[in-house]
Amino acid sequence: MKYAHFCLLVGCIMFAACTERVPQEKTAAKPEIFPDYTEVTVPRTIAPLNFRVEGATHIQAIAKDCNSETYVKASGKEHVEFNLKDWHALLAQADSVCVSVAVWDEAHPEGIQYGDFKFYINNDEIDPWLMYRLIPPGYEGWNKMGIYQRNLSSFEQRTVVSNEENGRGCLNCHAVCQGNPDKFTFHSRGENGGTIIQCNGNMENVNLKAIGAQMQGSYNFWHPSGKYIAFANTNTHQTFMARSKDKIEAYDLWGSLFIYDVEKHDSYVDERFNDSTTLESFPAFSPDGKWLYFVSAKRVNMPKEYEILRYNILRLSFDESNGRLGENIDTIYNAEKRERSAIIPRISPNGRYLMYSTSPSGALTLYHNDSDLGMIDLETMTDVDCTCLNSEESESYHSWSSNGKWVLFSSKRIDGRFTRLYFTHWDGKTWTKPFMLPQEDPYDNTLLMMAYNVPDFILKPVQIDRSRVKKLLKRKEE
Amino acid sequence: MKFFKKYNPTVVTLMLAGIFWLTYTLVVAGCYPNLLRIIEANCWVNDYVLQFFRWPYVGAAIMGGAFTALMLLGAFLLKLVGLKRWMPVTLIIACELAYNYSPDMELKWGHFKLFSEDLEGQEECSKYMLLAEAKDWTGLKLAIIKDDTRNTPIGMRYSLLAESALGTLSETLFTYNITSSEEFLYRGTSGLMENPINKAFYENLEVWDESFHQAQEYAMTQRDWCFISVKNMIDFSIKEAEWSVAEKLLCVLDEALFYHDFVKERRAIIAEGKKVKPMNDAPIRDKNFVSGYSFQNEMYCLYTTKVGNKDKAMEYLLCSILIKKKIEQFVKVFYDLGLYRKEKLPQPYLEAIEIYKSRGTALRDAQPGTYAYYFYNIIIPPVEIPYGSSKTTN
Repeated sequence: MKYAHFCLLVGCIMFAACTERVPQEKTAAKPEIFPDYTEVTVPRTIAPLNFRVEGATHIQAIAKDCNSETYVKASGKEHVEFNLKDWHALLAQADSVCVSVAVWDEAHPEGIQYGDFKFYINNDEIDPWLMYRLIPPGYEGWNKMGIYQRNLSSFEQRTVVSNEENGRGCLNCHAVCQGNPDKFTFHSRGENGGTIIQCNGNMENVNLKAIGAQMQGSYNFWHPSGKYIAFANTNTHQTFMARSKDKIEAYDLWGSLFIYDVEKHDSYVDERFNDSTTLESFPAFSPDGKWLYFVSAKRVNMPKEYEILRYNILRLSFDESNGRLGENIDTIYNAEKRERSAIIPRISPNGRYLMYSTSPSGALTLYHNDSDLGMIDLETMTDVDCTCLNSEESESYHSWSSNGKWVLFSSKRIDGRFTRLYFTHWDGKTWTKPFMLPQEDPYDNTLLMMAYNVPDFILKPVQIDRSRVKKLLKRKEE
Repeated sequence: MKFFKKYNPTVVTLMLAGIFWLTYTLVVAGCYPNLLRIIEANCWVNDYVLQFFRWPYVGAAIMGGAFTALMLLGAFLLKLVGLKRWMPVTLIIACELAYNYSPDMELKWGHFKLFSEDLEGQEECSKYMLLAEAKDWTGLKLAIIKDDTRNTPIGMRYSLLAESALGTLSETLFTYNITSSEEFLYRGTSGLMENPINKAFYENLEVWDESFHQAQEYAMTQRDWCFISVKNMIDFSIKEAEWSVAEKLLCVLDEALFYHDFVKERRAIIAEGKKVKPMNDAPIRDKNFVSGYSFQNEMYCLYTTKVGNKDKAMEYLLCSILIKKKIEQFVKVFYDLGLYRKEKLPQPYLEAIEIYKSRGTALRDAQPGTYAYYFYNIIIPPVEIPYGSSKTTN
């Protein structure tokens, strides 16, 4: 009998917990949700846009197809998590989704029903995976860091390689060939350092300093053919400001470019970009492989004259047959004229647009509060307005999806220090409101003490044998 | 049940609790505050356990109970499978667990004592760090005298910092074996010993951005983010009116079990602060680089750009000139810029002026070339100088 009473009590509690509450107030105002997913445009395959309402004790949300009766419900204490399967069923058929939110909090103990907010579904496909580095933000040191990949349709994050493989050293400058992770590079710094190049299942640790150009690579970009990798060879330093909104100035004391031939295991330097009067960096091939874009600045006394260090975006032709650079240098972005520095040129897959990061000066604009994204139409050589992508905080490190319809970028707009990832849709004329990478628990965006760095779309997960990476880096040490 | 009665868990728990309490007393409270890590740590057991060291008795009892239960369970399982000599095995397991999952309990402490002198130095360093953290400057000076470490690199730096904080630096400067102004702190280096003193140094100078930097570096150079660093970073963000950073870090700290009061208090401060200063009013960029110039010039820059505590920066500037025994330069700074506002001059200053006079130079001769002239034309050469910086991680 006692047992029956106990079961009844548990049943009642569970029933009460599962019962929907009815809010006593109603307002037409929209709820203040985090991340802000109101009026955003998302791809059909995006993971659930779970959100949070600060200070809530209970939230109920219904995401409903604006044109049919299909819906998905979720409730929670401070945040809501939509069921993955139901969410994808909803997004598979909806063109727009209306989200109704009711919140119970200190101000509204009996609950308040907010006005519905909408988001839109776009049929343009997005690449299914992302790759990025997670590092402690700014400054010099780190403990843990790693390169990770994330499934955009779910919340699955996998480690590609972490600094457990190289004795807590630095891992940086990862790159894949046109979104194909079968061709993949990254650098491992420190005692066991080297450049790991994985090409069609074959992985090696290349000592770039010991071959051809005898230069150590940093920022790199694969030629679409997969036969070459353009490397910058930079000596990067940083200095710290005593009191300002920008905390750090990162700069190169030298910067040059070289081309690595993946098949011949050789590298070649063009002496024009290996002198002491200019600094070169951030090479990037055009998607047709015929052009090499890069940034170049006149060398100044750094960091004393950091406010006049400005990088131009230049390009020259590239001959795939021999891996050599052409004679004529085109200036795509004139830093002196515009009085702004531009870095990280990235060409859209159709070859028409060049996106870059810009700020009044500097080599690594991501450290600048006023770093913004900009874009040039290479057909008309005119600027494309990117105002709606930018915020008062730093925006940088952008990447095009393989169909050129989505752009991924990093921004510090939440707190000014920790970069988070954002997506926007480009239809050839306009941008949509950027939305933050969804997380299973949206509060993770706040609690994560790491910054996202060098995000890139990838077409499938990177397959890498981490134990082999460890061995390769160890062998070098021996 | 007989089994558990035979090996009285209460007694074992109390014994283990005693060990854990001792651990707190000997090691954690005194020497290793840096081990109080928070989320994202490698080992969740440590994260969980460490928080109880804020309440040592409660924590010790919980830990003792947990390990007793583990030990008895292990013993019970071993007995079930028929192992007769189970007691030594379980004891070894329990000791292993205790050794690995207690935050440097005295087993390790004993190990340090026996095998490592360096770690003893680290203990002293952590003690000084705690005293500086508590702004117990007199206590810090006394501890350094007691440990006879006044002339060791770390002891001298902490002691000089305490002198500056107490306003007695210029009076007592030459009672130390200081040979270079670079010995006021560890410029351009990171480490468990270096970052806390650097942080305390810039905090004393009220240069909050650099204090934040050093607090974060401290977290990075040890095992991971730790309570002490996060708390520091929150306070320095508040000082600079960087509300969004402070709020983010408060959210993180609020996830820990025992910092809700701290979080509540700081949130109230932020709410009030926002009314007075809605946002950080610092310029977007600055030419005043920390560790970018020599120590002397850095202090001069801080003074002239009005960043931080001007009086302390000037005291460091004057002291660093005196360390170099540049009497003429000292007098120029002293008079030309009319900087020193104290009514009663410290003895070393008076002596420097007397020496200058004794050389037969009238004080007014010091007027033509100002320190600013020296600074811009002589001290900063027109060529590239090796700014103290390190490679970026990007």
